[in-house]
Amino acid sequence: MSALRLRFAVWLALVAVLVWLFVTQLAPRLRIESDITAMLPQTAPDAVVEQALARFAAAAGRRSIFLIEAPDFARARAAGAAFAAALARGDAFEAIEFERHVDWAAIDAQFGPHRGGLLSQQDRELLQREGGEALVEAALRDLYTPTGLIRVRPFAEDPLKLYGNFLLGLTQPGARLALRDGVLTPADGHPGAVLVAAVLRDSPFAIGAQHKAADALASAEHALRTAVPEARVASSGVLRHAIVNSQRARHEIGLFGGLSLAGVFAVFAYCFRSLRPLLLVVCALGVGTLASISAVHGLFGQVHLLSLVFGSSLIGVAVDYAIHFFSDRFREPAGWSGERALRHVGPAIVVGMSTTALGYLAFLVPPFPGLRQMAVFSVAGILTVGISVLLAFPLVAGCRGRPMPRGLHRGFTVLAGIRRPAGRRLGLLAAAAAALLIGGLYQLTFIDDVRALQSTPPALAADEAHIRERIGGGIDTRFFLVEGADAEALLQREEALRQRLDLLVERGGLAGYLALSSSVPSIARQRADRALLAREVYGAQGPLVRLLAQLGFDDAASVRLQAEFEAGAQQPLALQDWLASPLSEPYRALWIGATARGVASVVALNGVSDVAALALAAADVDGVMLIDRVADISTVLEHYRRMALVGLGAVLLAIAVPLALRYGARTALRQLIAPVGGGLLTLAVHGWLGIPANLFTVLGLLLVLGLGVDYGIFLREGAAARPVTLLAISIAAVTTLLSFGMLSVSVTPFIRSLGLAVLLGVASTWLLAIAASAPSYGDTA
Amino acid sequence: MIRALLLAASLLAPLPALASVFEHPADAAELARTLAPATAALASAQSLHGRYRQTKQLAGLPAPLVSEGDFLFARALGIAWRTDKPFAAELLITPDALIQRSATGEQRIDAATQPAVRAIAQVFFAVFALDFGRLSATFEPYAMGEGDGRWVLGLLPRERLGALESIEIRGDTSVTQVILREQGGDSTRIDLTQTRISAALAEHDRARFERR
Repeated sequence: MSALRLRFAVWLALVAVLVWLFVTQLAPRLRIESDITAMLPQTAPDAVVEQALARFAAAAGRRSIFLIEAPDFARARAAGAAFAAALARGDAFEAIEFERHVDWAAIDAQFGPHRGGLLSQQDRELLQREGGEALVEAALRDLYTPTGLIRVRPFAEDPLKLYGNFLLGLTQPGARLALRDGVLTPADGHPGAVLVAAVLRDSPFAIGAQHKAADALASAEHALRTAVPEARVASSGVLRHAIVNSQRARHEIGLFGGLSLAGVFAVFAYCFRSLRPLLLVVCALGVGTLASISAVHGLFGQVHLLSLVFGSSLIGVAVDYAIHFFSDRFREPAGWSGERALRHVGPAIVVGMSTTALGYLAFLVPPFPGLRQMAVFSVAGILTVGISVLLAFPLVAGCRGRPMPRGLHRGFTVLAGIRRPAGRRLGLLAAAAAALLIGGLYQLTFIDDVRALQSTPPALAADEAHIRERIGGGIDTRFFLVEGADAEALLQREEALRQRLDLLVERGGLAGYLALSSSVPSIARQRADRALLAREVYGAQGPLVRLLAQLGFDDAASVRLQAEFEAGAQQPLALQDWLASPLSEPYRALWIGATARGVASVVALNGVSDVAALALAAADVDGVMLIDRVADISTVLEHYRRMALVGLGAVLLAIAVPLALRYGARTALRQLIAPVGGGLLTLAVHGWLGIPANLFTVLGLLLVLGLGVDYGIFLREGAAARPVTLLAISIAAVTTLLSFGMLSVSVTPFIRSLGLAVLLGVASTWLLAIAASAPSYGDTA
Repeated sequence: MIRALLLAASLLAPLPALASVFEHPADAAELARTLAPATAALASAQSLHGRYRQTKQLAGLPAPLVSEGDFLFARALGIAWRTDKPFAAELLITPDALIQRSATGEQRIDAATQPAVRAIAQVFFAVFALDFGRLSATFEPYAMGEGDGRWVLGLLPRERLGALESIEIRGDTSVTQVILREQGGDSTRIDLTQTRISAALAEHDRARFERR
């Protein structure tokens, strides 16, 4: 067997193993992830925070709220009923919350025995401020005027309405919501609106769940319009974002992949004028894609949609090696064979492949799952395509050289005519470049806010703004994590925190919050409230006894009330009992439970408008932490952007050393002009255009660095056949520009940043590489 | 002396027994037919004046608690409910809130967040404007004629509304009596007398609804 056949056989065997692995191991459990947040860095170094994020954030993510509006309440309610019923029909949602029936019997069973230690916030403050007499006055007003016509509990049972007021606070659905005729409505005075909440069965990011939910939503909106034509619905929640993001990503994979492939086809058809290179490159790219998906899935357990979007542009890079291989045909149209091509371009392909792969490997450094996936995807793809070119192409590429197409010939003549500037010309150029660079870099800004890296379609953003305006919005992504050695310590800390949050709500910095301790006061607080009541209300000569006597009740009534009050003293309400009852159902996501440090809970927020005050609220309460994942991620992004810039310099040095060893210091310096200049130019252009740069821009530059060094190496190694090499790197640059150019119009901002950096970088690096390697004036080409 | 007599009279006259009105569910048309004598009289009214007397019977209390005063209903504004006895107090009932007035200022109880307050406001508006249609979301309506142009309406809360069990409203050309019954045997009877209908709203009456 000849060496060529052996190579081909090895390749065939490798491909067979790959295909076999893919079909038998991978395809049956292929998982495509579309959760953007799964791509973002995990910012929780703390196990408890991670536990809270996993439990609370996951529950919050499955929840969507819908605000249904109509000209009046009756129609809004009818529309809401139709909408909720239609949502409930499919199996996408595990729970639909529309009509709320307060189970008073259960509430009574749970709280009744402990009522002597339960006070509403207002009553507690009133008692502390003005004492029991104030309550007596209010009780008399209730008895003689209409304010007391509808009591929560009958007079004999709760003369001062203390228990009734506590129960009202308990069943109050939220600061800006009201329960009306059994459904939730905004408490802003405009009556024609109701709320529906829906809880997904699966994660909103599971593609299957998205399909089912999207169908259910469409039929629910149809049902709503059929029931009440003038009704409209606004929604808030992760679900619709997730659906939109995966639709966009799928759209872009198809579009970018298709256009990249079409571009490659066009370039190959025009340049090489035969079917064989075309078929071979398609084959290599196919194997490369298979290898990429397998590698990512093998390492990460799933493939993210955005990796696929990014990967679809890989076509433009991986195809370079095939281009170099086939461009070699132009070098010796007569005696060309695959074997000779291998000898000529093989070393350059190996060096180029390694530097590009190294560039991508830099993506592994930040703890950014998305980038790591992209890096693995790219490296696997590039190596597979490169190796395919080296192993398979020589045998099957045929042995017919070809003359260069005429148009191409004219093009490369122009390129080959480029001369290295020297003397005054060089001075002028250098001055102009310096002005361009300094001006641009001076104007360059960096924005690392993760919100700027995710995009929301205007319709969704408008919906959310509308809901925020009417009810303060859904549950915020920020929340407080409260920890304590045991449930009692935890509840006491929550109470300390809530005191500050109440002030914030009053000042308008926060619409509302949800906390376990709103339903179950700490035992310390129950004891304090009981003591307050004993001092201010009960007792032989207390205001309660006097009120009852004044009204004409006999002594038995006050003796009975006093006995009831004292009976409950030994058994305060316990958090665990409440958590075990069905009443706590809506709040259970707030309970994180046992942790490595004790127990933890979440205080959920909605309608946050003053973040600084929020952070301050937690500052002086022990065991309370404001978790703001969005801000944390932004900080991480900034950190790694800085690191990546330093890394860029380090990579440059790392590349400079082998270049200097192989080519000598002077040539090595000249070879670095292109990648360094290209990178700086790219940043300067960002500055001039007013486009802020971020981590992804810098990572794009890392790719450019790899490619730029490639160009230099190919031009240097192929100096003997400069026109052909020129042509090869130019075709390669065109395919790269094509594919990354498309990424620069992606709707996902961080992919767009990456695309734009590579687009600008490759264009300038390519020009600089040609100019820097060109013979100077006076030399002959 | 007069007060003692009145008290005795109210004790002697038992509260009307839970009449059979709750055996007569009413739809919108039935309500309109029953209320016809009153709606005709009220059609052009902009305001109503009158006296009220509230008698509250509490379980375990031998004598009822009685209060008296006057009321003003202004169609577009609300109800001003002024108590003379046993102490002076004023309450404004608007669709959005109950506003308590005292020497020291105003105290507002928002209807939007408190179903019981909203129900009280709704019932009072329905009583004076005879607009019972809006009540049907909160209450199941019942209606029955009692002869001589007198009628009785019954309201049962659809969802539990505190301790409230039922409401009965009696009237002829205007409402004369409202009875609320609660769990535990408590009940409140409000008798409306000397009701005068005016086609206009006097300036000093309008001023009573201005914020202080």
